[in-house]
Amino acid sequence: MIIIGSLLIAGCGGPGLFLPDAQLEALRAGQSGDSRTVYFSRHYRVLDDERLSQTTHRVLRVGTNARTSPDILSTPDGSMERLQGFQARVSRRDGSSDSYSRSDLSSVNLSSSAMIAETSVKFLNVRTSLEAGDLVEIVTTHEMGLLPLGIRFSLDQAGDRSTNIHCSFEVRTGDTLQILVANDSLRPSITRHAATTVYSLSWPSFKGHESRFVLDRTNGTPIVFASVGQGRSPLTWVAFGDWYLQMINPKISLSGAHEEMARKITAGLSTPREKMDAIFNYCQKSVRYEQVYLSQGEFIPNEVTTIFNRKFGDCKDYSVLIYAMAKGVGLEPNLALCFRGRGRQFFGDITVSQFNHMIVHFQDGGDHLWYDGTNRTGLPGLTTDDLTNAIALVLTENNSHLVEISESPDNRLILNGRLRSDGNSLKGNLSIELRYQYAIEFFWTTFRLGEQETRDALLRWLRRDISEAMHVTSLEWRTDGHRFLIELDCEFENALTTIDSNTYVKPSRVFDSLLPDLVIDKMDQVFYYPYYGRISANVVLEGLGQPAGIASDGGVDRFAWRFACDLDPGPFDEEERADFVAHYTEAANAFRQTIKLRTTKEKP
Amino acid sequence: MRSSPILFFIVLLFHCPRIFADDFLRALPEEEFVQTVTQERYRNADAVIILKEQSYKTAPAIVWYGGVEYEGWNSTHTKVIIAKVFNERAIERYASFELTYREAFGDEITSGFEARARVLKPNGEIVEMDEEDVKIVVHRETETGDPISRKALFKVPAVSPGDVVQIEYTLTQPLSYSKSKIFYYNDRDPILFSNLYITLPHDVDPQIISIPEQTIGTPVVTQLDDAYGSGETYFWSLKNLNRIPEEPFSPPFADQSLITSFAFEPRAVSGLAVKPGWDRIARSFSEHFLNDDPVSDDRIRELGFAEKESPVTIETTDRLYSALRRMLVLDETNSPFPIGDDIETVFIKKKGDASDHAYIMMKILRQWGQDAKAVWIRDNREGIYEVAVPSIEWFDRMSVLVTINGKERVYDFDKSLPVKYDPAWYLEDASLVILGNDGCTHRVLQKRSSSGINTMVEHHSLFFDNQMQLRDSVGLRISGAPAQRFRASCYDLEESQLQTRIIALAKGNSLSTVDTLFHNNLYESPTIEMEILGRSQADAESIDSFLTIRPRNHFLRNFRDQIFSPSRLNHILLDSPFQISMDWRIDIPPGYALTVKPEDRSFSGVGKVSSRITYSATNQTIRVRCDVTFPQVAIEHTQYQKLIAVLDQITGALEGELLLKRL
Repeated sequence: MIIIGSLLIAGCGGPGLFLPDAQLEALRAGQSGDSRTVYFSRHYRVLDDERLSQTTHRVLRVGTNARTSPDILSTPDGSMERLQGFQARVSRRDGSSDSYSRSDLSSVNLSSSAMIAETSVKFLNVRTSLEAGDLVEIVTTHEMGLLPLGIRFSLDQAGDRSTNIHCSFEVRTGDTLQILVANDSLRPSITRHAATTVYSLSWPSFKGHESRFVLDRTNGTPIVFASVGQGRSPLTWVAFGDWYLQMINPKISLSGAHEEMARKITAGLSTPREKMDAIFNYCQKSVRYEQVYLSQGEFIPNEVTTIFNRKFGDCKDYSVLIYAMAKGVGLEPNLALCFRGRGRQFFGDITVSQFNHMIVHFQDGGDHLWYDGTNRTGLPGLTTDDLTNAIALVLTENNSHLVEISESPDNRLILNGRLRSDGNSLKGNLSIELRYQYAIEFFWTTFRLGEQETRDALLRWLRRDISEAMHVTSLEWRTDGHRFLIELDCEFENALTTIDSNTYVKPSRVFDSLLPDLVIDKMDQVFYYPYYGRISANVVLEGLGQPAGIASDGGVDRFAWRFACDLDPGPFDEEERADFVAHYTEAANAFRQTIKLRTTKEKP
Repeated sequence: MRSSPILFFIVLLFHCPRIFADDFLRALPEEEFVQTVTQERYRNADAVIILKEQSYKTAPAIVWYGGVEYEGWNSTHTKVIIAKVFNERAIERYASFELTYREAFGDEITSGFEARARVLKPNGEIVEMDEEDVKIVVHRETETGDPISRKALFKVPAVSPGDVVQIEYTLTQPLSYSKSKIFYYNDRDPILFSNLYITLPHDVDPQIISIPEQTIGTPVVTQLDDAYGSGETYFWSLKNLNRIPEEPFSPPFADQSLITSFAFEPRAVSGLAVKPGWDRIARSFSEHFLNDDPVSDDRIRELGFAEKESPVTIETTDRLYSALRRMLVLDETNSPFPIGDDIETVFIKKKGDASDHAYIMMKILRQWGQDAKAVWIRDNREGIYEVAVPSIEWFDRMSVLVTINGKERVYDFDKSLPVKYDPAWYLEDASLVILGNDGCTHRVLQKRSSSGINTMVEHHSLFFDNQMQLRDSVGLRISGAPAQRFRASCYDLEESQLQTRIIALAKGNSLSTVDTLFHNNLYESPTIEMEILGRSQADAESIDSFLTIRPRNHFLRNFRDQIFSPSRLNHILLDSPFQISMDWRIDIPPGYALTVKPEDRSFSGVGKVSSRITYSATNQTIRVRCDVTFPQVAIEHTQYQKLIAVLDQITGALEGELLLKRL
């Protein structure tokens, strides 16, 4: 549910610093092996149109097994969240306490060969060791830039098994705050002051979501989304899109030489789709993925000419380069924001802080095409399957809107082969074909790695996604357009059971990783399907016998095991969920059947 | 002296007169030469390093700061890498640069860092990195904002597979010289030319050792000048060096690489040259680092001992070690130098590195009148040190040797070791440096343990629940080297994180769901014990009037997964001889009986791996037992496939079908 408040009354400032001694002392009660957060308060205060102050007040009770420094002794400091204030104290069981200020913090820059960023972690070195039952109280204030990105507060930030959690938002009179409390029925209490209004939420405790069911959503923790709109109007997707496009506009102009390159790449191509595909292919191959985050580079792309010249960048850089080159040849693409990673519930009303990735959208007639340069080996018009059915915010002047990224209907994992008996083992060859979005990660593997590491990666994939029981004796692979093909010779030990003159084979034991064995206890935990859902198998079993009533093929026992399923990847709404479970159950029952084969001739 | 043609060739290939090549020290190789470096020729390599050149110079220097003259030694380290990259993996390695260096004097007297990079495209185009793209950030700083270390970072632009990347950097550190250093010629990728220059003051008498000497040869020596501060340059050049890939259970990189190292002592006040030697270093160390603060009586009492303990027995020293391990937390990193002049800080913060802990233990024992010696450690995880090169650079920490009634014990402070004394696997057969009053001795203090000490035991009780689902009560017990490895990976975990780790371990091979979990205090006890109950991953199937059960093992599968690689390049080096013992007790469901008891089987294979599987049965239960022994720690890489084959054979036999029939 979403609440929109239009603020008219002026009011108070932020919270005080340390807790009153009596309140702090009350938090000492109880003990645990782990160190636990026993008080967590986050207060957001709007400073002006672009800035936000975030004050975090936390108390940690040191656990009986404490051996390492608790995480709360560190706090980030960077261009996206600048540390403005710091105060801490350690309150000991014997009643003594030490106080600390910002000048007691040491610093470590997080830049590495993987990422160059203006981000540091500040560490508090406590003067004397922490003992079980000590309370560490820390108050930090950060200034956050780029207010239109919105605010996202997840209870994960308070920590697993934390207690006394509070979150509040203080906005100026005249501005509009939208709040959405996701995964919880809680509503904020509102306190109006003269110049501001404060929206507050509290939770007595929080238990993490770590033992979630594999089909359950990955963002099931209570999360508060908030955004601030100037004046009476809430911040809409349209308003956000206009703000962002205006901000990055100076960065996306192509030089003459680069425009010339775009024309050269698309020369001789007639349709807009062909031109988009060609620009995309050029950009994804020529630019390598690197993270260099200077001056809020986590959210603001580099200039297109810089990206073009140094040939590296992150998702935003790929996207603005594709976008600018496509514009340069007269096409009308759009930038689009989305979340890369499956199993996320999307909240359509609010806010942009739900996104972590940028791609390019292009509408070709009625078709929505997507271009994601970060894949380096992606297929034009398609995302990788970790964006399947995700919601993207397509950025268009005056018309930014949400569009679903559909799964390619051509995705499929095809398993064919021929296996024969060898004692109680099966031996033979298999071919595995992965099509369209299923193939992209394999294109990347072969593009990125040398032969030996590719072999290693494929063997691990076979073990994880086809059969843990399989011993591979030879392995070859190749790419063919939208397909990735694996050919292998292999053996499955202990695959057959022979009782009297019957041989029993259970494909789900042979291909024990192909379709996961899921026990679905609670329907509401089914949110998405993170495995290969579109599978076809046709494996010929030779020399094992024939099913009753079926004659052998010219004296040779030959039986073809066929299996197919088409499981939707989700995410599911209530109706789709029931359908999915029915389809999965049907597929799993077929997959787990034991095949009984009667020997048609005497064994030597 | 090494033959000159190679040197001549290298000069032709890479010599770069400054007049033609801006600031680059070495020229890019000729196109014709680059074309001969192909992926077909260097199969399975991600890249080929055409040139790896390291040069190190140390010389006396005078630094003026704040009107004061500081006399010392400056060091300059220059490195040149020219590599042809074949794939994106190589680009990840060579196109992103990161170097962290210490700032001994904060912002007062700073180090100098310069870097250049460029890319040679197959079409001959050269793309040079902009100087402004080199970012130098303060990596760590103190509370007062003084830099402790800086980091130099950059990304090489426009690199694609098939390109040649050249990176050159020079790091100059004032008043920061080392009297010894170790250089490695090899790398993770194959190298065509690996050069090393060492320039030392001309008036010292260095000890320079190359290993193996016959392969590396003697250096070309050039006398620079007799003037103050100048010196002699020693030059080596090797070609066609193998890559040393990272693989599990491999000999350490340092033991596989060709190395050259030097050590020297500054000329004595008398003007005489001084020969470096272990005894001299040990005496200096003892004088400067082992004679500092005593441990106060209050702290000794806090540890649970009297100010004077007598007599001191092995039991006493074990208790002291345990008390220290319980009281003090280990730092993330080590240094061989204890903070003996401020040891009280370690007690206040209850945290210090291994050498601080060892210093405290040594001091307390000496205060009790018990002889305790400092020991420098380079353990089996890092490699061996070379006795011919006297240098403290080999070692990362100090520990304590105690001898009581002829019984010797090394007390080491490491995250892999439990609170209760447990001999460390990584010190087995390792030579250690024992510091005495007049110098030091080199000795192996711990012999290789037997497979019976390093054990992994798994016990399964399999039974069918009311829904005829197969459940398993799994008991895992690990001792010796495997326990120490597991403990090290858990040291920094909170209790709930540890439980999550154990559940993940159980779900790896034994259980598909976990209902209950018990584990002992693995930080305290040398043996790690876990009991986990849940739904079994063992396969059970009902066919007509039959029931089939296939046991599923944990440790053997786990070990196979750890060493698995499609084409092994390094020899296998196990931590120590070890043994896996597996045992299944399977409850026969009422109304069923075992049809045929399988035959007992034995296996043997490379590395003297041996195994025996035995079966026994009653009307109520089936017992399957299997022991696998790995008595040999080193197995040649050519035997790798055979090793995997024997592991698969054992697993295949062990997990074979048990057939029950309804009565």
